[in-house]
Amino acid sequence: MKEFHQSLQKAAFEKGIPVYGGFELTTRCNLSCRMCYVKGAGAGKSNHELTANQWVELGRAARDGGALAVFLTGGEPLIRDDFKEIYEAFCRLGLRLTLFTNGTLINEELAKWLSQIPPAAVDITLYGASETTYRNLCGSGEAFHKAMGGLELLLKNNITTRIKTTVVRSNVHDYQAVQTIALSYGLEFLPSNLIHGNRITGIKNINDERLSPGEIYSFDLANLEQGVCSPIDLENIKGQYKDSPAMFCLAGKCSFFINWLGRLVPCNLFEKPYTVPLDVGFKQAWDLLRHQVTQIPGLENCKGCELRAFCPVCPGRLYLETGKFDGHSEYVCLLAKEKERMMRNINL
Amino acid sequence: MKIKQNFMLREIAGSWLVVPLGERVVDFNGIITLSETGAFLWEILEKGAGVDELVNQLLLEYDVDETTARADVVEFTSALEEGALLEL
Ligand SMILES: C[S@@+](CC[C@H](N)C(=O)[O-])C[C@H]1O[C@@H](n2cnc3c(N)ncnc32)[C@H](O)[C@@H]1O
Ligand code: SF4
Ligand code: SF4
Repeated sequence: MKEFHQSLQKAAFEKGIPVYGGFELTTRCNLSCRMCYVKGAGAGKSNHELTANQWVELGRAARDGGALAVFLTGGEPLIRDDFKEIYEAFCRLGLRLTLFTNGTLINEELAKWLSQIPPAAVDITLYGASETTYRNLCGSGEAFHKAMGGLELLLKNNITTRIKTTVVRSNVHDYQAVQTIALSYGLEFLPSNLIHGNRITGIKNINDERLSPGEIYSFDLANLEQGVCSPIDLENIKGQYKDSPAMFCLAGKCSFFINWLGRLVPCNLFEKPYTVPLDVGFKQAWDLLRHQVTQIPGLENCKGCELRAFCPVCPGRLYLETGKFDGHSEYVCLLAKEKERMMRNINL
Repeated sequence: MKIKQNFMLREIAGSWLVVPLGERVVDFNGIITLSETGAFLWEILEKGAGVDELVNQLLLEYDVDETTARADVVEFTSALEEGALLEL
């Protein structure tokens, strides 16, 4: 199966077929995480959000365009009154669906309903392992118990569930405890500590909350072991990536994101370039977007940089750091330096 | 023989695959990959057909001899049966 997915991805990449996608159903949320990259977009208002019918129309059009594996996200998708209507239609489209949620709005009734038409997986983000951590990071202590309750309801109803955690200053002390929760339920654990800027305010309110590049690459070596390679390989890798194109990933090639306004963007980091599938049709919007992605300027500051092999740089990330697709971000450069250093240390 | 309800056959980027819909995900949470002939047979089996009919359709569509076609059909339908993908 893994080989199948790899060959499908390769074919989709080469042919420009949007097999992966994300649908941002809302920016509203019952929590208010300090580092949230969506917070502030739409200022919590629902009046510009698309209707359920519009989302379903977009889902169908994306499916017709070749979408296969898609996720529903937000904000908190479960906050929408019409979530069930959207979801029930999506689960009949022939997509592999993943639901992203903070888990706090899952009650007995919702879990039961979901268990009858389950997604491929629910990804719950846990933001800590105590009331205090949730209070400090997400603005609600009670949310910890609600998230744990939601998790248990999903499991009781046999819904495939994975645990994500997003590690920042306010919850780093709970990291092991969150991992233990995931392990104790025997669930796949997907930690992340790479924090990008907010789509509206950039890194202004995020900089203090995210870990420093040094911390990021030192606090969980076990998780990074997949990146281990020999010193010789390390040197080879460096040479290979130094002239990589600006957009190096799947976004705008075989993967897309539709934000809460119904705009088609390369991924969840981008506010622009965008096209509007509800106006011009999904296929044309996708073709236009693919073209626009090729027009994103090259990374002038990164030309020939040997650290590129270890660097999470991309135009989207840089835009949120600096306000320019090809700006210079000390934070991103440091991430690359620290990763290289970490890999050297492991190599010793 | 007939394929159970709530599966969707799709062709994406040159690959044939089958995705479970709605409640079908309860007992089948994954995807099925098919060869081109597999997809051809699947499509017929969505409406329902017996071994002989499948063999005949294969002979009409593809340049194969009957022995090979029959072997292919039997192999394919037993795999479907094993995967509990056929209606009783
Ligand atoms: C925006 S949330 C939406 C879904 C749901 N509300 C949740 O929290 O899982 C999607 C994921 O992005 C993560 N996230 C939020 N802000 C982030 C940032 N600035 N950088 C990286 N990931 C972030 C969240 O922790 C969550 O795992
Ligand atoms: S729960 Fe998700 S959407 Fe809500 S504030 Fe936190 S990260 Fe943002
Ligand atoms: S962001 Fe810095 S470290 Fe990364 S590729 Fe560009 S110049 Fe190199």
